[in-house]
Amino acid sequence: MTKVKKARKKSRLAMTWHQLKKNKIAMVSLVVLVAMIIVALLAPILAPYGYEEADKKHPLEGSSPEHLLGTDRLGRDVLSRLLWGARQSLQMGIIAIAISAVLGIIIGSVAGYFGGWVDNLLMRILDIYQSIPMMLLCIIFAAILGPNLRNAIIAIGISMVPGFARMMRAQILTVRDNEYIEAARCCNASNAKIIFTHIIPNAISPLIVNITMSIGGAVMSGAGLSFIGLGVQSPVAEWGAMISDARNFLRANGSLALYPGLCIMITVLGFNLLGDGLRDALDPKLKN
Amino acid sequence: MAAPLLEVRNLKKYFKTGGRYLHAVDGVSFKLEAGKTLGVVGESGCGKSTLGRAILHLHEPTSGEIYFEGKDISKPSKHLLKEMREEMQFIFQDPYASLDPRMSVSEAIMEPLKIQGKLSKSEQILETRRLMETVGLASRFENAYPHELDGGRRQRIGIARALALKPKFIVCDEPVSALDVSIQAQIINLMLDLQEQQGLAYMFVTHDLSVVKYISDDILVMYLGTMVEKAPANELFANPKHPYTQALLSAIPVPDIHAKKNRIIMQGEITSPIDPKPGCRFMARCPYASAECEQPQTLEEIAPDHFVSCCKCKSL
Amino acid sequence: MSENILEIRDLVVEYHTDEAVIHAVNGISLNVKKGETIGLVGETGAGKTTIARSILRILQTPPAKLCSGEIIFKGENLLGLSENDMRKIRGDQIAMIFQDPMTALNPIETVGYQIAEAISLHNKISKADAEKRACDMLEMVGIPMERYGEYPHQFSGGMKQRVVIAMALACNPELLLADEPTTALDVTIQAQVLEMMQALKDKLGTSVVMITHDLGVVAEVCNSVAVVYAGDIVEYGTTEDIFDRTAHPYTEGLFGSLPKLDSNEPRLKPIKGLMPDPSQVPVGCSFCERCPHATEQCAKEKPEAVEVSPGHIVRCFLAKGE
Repeated sequence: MTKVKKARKKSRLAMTWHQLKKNKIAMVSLVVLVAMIIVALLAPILAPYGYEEADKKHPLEGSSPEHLLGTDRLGRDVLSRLLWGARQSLQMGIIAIAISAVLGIIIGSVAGYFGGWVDNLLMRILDIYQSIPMMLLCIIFAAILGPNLRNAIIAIGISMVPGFARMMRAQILTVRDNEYIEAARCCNASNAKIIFTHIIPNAISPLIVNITMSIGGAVMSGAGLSFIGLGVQSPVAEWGAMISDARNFLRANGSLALYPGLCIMITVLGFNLLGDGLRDALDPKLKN
Repeated sequence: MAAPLLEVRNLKKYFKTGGRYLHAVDGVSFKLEAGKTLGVVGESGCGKSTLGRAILHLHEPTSGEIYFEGKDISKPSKHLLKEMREEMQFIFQDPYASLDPRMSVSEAIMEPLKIQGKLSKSEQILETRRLMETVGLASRFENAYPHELDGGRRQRIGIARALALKPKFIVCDEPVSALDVSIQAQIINLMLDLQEQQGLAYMFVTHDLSVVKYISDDILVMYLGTMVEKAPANELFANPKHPYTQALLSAIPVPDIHAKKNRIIMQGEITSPIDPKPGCRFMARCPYASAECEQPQTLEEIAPDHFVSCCKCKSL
Repeated sequence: MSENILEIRDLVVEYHTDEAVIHAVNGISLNVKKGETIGLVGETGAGKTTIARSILRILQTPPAKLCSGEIIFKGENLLGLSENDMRKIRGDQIAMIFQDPMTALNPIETVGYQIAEAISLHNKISKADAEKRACDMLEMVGIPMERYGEYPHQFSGGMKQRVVIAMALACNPELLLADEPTTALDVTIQAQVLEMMQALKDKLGTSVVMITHDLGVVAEVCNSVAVVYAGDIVEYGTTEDIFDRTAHPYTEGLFGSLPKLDSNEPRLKPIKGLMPDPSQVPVGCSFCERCPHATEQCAKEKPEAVEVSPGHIVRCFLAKGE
């Protein structure tokens, strides 16, 4: 049952990539997401109009050669606003998750590895913290700090810390009790060495998957916050805010809500499918 | 007589569980000469694995003394512990769990050398190749990962790791019980060869009595954390004195259909090792138990090198 | 000679995965007589458990595929039965004991309830009667019936295995498939359980298929033995045939690998190498690469089963001459 090829040694990243390449759905998602990010970065060049530029003569119009996806109530070009909006939405997703993942991993690792009262204290604080509904938390943060993009990111980021912390802690606990940790201790490996070469690499895979999938969730939360007016403020374009703007004109021009909605859906779906693919690619037992 | 390689005196290891104490190892003493093998047998939960771990300070012993080459290593400083772990190594039971799934074969074997840091990078690679050859791993497996290999090969990696620092003493915790018989024999032969070539001393922890008889010079029988009998292997099998040893030996299924079977079927099961009563721990299952067994038992040398902890062993 | 309760003819089982076809069982034939205990001996991955699961038809299909062959239980081919009819046989006339007693019991039901449930599943009797039978079963396997209302976690490993055995025997099956029933237990507990199984078997007249890797257990409880290697039965005969007149090099190798209690040879005589990859079955004899007596013929063609003496069947070219 042992199939061992005389393969050149590859780094972990290269191996994960090699595995991921085999998964068609994940690759399609990755391409879509990368395209999305490039579009967001190049929005100033790609967008035919500025996000604020209003064509006052043609409000609420369907698609036309000048405005491919039509215009909104102030005559702003929907396509341009979608492109500009990608910046805000993706930023919210990615930066918010980066904040929460870093904090969560640190808190979770400390709690998991040291155990005892440190663990107890941190976990109880998180327990209390988690008993407050997430949306409510975001609203509180946004209300205290003022509604804008930066604060929405902070609000979403902080509200997602407990989930990552708990997951990291659980992972560390399972990995910490493995015999190979004891085996490393036997050959004189120091605590730091054990944490960095054995525990974290073995504990992190499910987190990477979770982080990827959470980006989609964070994009949604951001859109949600903007929808209720606590996130990005007009006139800045953001997908959630665009839907919010469009809700009064659903009958006049339904596509106004449809396009940003589709964008959110594709982004969220893309991150989820990519996460799914990563789950398989990161499992060393599924190699070959 | 020269000082023994390893001497353990009255070693105890208690684990705290909810305010009570689980007596995992309770007063075990033995001496082990260089190049010899001590077999430790007993049923699951008798503390035999904990004993091995306590000697290597993988679990800090509760009390007792450990001497290695005459040095007191009962409460080692960080520095001494480091030195000591180069002399004493551990082979784990489960070759599936004791290897980091993310480390290739050569990385796993090189790890102890890397941490020790005495050899240059290229010397480490050469030494790793030499170790792989010693334990019979073909060089094509260098970049393989543990899950791609069968149990026997994985256990060879474990052995190579243990040998990397050139120890004098290795605790082998059921190293072959997870393997198939034909592979088991390959590994046992390998371990015997290594012992001969490098003068290793083994503490061989196992529940498999035929293996222990085969590989050991001395055998220590444990029951619920206590040492019930210790004797040279042949003497123990020919002349078991403790009622538990007798029952244990009679329970081995022998692969011979003509063997006479005088099986002693014990009543009941192992009692709890949590806060046990002071008397003989085997009392509840012992066919000969009486009031005097409720007193603490002492280890007596009833024949040269044959120790028994039973107040009735002379009268039986 | 008593009648065969179970006959397996040329059973072939494969596992189809994305990458490969794994040939788990390659045409084995086997008879189990009434009241007899037959041992299936072999190493991990030899196909022992697959055989047992095929008999009960509890293989996951796919990936498993029962390609050909017949399993005749009391004159009826089990492979031809509908799932509904099979359900009536499973647990009632054929029961199975699994290797790990820790996971075979439902942790949230009392052990008594689980036994009673097994009984009422196949018998139309009142709840009170089922409970009474369950109590009797517990007593029979040596557990006081006061423990009827306890949960699995309150039992030790050996006790749990007794409960599992009680459950398997509750409907008085004619055939019991025991998959490594004592491997997870300590020697002294193993001795107790084997002793008990032996006594129950004599009392109830059950036929047993005992799957194990331990030749010691085989010597203790079996009347006949089938040695399984890489999906083939390489040697098949009575316990005396196998232990005293060992004919196949693999069986010899198994005996050589075991440390003996009464001899002091300096080294064991293991079988070299590993079992062949079951996704790439060799053309010739499956044991040929590891066999000390292998010839060119062994690598080229598969040896036929040879009956060296009545009932003693060996699949090896060397066995012909004898």
